[in-house]
Amino acid sequence: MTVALLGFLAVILLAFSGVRIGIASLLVGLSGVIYYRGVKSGFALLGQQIVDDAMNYNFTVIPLFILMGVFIYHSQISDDLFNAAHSAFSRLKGGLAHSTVVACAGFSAVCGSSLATAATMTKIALPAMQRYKYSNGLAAGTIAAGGTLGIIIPPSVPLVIYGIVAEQDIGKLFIAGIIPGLLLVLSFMATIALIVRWKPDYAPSQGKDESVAVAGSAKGILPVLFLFILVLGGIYGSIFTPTEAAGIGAFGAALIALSRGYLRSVKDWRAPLSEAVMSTASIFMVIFGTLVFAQFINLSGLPYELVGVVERMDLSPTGLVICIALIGIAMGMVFDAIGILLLLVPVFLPVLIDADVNLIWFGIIVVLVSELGLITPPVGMNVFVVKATAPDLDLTEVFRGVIPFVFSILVVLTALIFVPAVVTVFIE
Amino acid sequence: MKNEANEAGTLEAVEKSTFVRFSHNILEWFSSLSLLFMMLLTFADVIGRYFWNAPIFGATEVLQFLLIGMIFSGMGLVVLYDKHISVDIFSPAIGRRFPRLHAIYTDIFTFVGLGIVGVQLFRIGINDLERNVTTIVLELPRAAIILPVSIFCLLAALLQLWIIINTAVKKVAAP
Repeated sequence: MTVALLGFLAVILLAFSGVRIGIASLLVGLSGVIYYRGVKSGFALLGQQIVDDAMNYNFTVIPLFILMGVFIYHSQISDDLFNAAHSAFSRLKGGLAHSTVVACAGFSAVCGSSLATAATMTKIALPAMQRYKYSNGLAAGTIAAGGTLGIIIPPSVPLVIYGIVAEQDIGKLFIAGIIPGLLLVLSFMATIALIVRWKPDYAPSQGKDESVAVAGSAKGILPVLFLFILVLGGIYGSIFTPTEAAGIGAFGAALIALSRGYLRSVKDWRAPLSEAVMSTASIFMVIFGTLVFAQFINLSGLPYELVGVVERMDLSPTGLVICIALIGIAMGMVFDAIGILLLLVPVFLPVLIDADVNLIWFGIIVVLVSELGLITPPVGMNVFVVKATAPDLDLTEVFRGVIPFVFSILVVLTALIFVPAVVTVFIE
Repeated sequence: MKNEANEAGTLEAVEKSTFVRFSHNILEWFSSLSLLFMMLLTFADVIGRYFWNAPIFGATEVLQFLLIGMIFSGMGLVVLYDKHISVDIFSPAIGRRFPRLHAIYTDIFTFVGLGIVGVQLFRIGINDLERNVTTIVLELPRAAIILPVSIFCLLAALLQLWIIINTAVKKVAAP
């Protein structure tokens, strides 16, 4: 156990010093495997592990969903989504903030990237909220929190990665993510309602906004809605595998972009394709590194020692999941979602299997925990993205603005932990 | 968060160096076309199966080849555009205090990591070549996939080395 803990410490120290997380875990993982199996076997295992992962058919779903998101992002559909949501919620107090949450949910459902959602919505929703004198904290907090919805609302890359690492059905994970995603949207809207009730000056009444072209916006989002239903409906109805759905989704997204006047020349295709390639390659570097590191952790016997520790503590499955969620929340303050999933899941998987925990339910819990990490200090990536996209905002103000939403996610997390049926209702 | 100064510096250098510009273009075209072909192949396979009951033979295996090809050709682009995922908690402060030293320190780890992976992939490719290993469905020589992929990975390591050397002699802007 000591060697494994030293390994974790080495990864954290290297990552903190700026070494890329995939590289840090790969080099520490390799050193650990060499320690247990010798130089020749260590290097051989590294090469074979990487070839196996890079040629794993299940992993093809990742670049295809990323490509779908990038095409949707480049088709500039976010304005229509925001306007359509605004037309529906403009009568509510804090209507623009409610619209932002719903538009974030809609955009992230087809885009899949939390950071892209936060950056896009900052450009669209922040000026609108500032125009109506919304408090900067509420406006920026809503966008940063709304951006996190992409991680749980399917199709979600972290859910795919969890599915592969924990050997769970990706289609079931996507379906299991729908209700928690909707619950989060509702809890964010309830949070906004409470804030504007408590502090009415945070969201002054906006009156009737003539700039919203309701009919045009609604028409504009129909293809996206159709694509979302096609992709998820296809997976749910077992018509497509997740990889096939991702291929169909990417193709459909390209058609949407074409119909909106984008991707008309080779030059137009170059940026989204390169963007998707680089996102995929950087994610895979983390996957390679952390899976080699996971081999080292397995060789160290840590996961099996943990089984013994948990048995001695006599924890219930719920108690065990709460403990892991707390560790995940602490990790989320430093690591990104993929890092958390790949470092946490392999270590605790034998314990979870031993305790007979439903791994689909656990997957949603752990992804939700990693979602929290996107807005908690000191490394709340979504907060930094909002700040980077709107440099005039004060970082402290943005962090202060997301605090109510952190509690909102914690409430949903608690509900999901104690009422697993919310997650598993559609998959059983 | 990426360091824009470093990225801008690297890209400026891409424009200036023939070797890097050539590598960049090759990697970008190969990886982009691989991804585009992945999308089209998956779509065509599904349509073929559902509408004509004729899935594309070996599509799954071709997708696996495209995936590994795209990942490792994309790795060089990740290096050039500094798109690696990193934990930026203390490193921005260290980077401000010792910009070039810190950039070289982090890049050396990336160079070593990519170099080790590239060499191991090359070894596996040579081994496959010697043992005449073929893929399961299409029965293609596996070395024909693994060896080019190892070259892409070694090229990414070489590009990282190029950035380290140029940072050291101040040709590329450090963070």
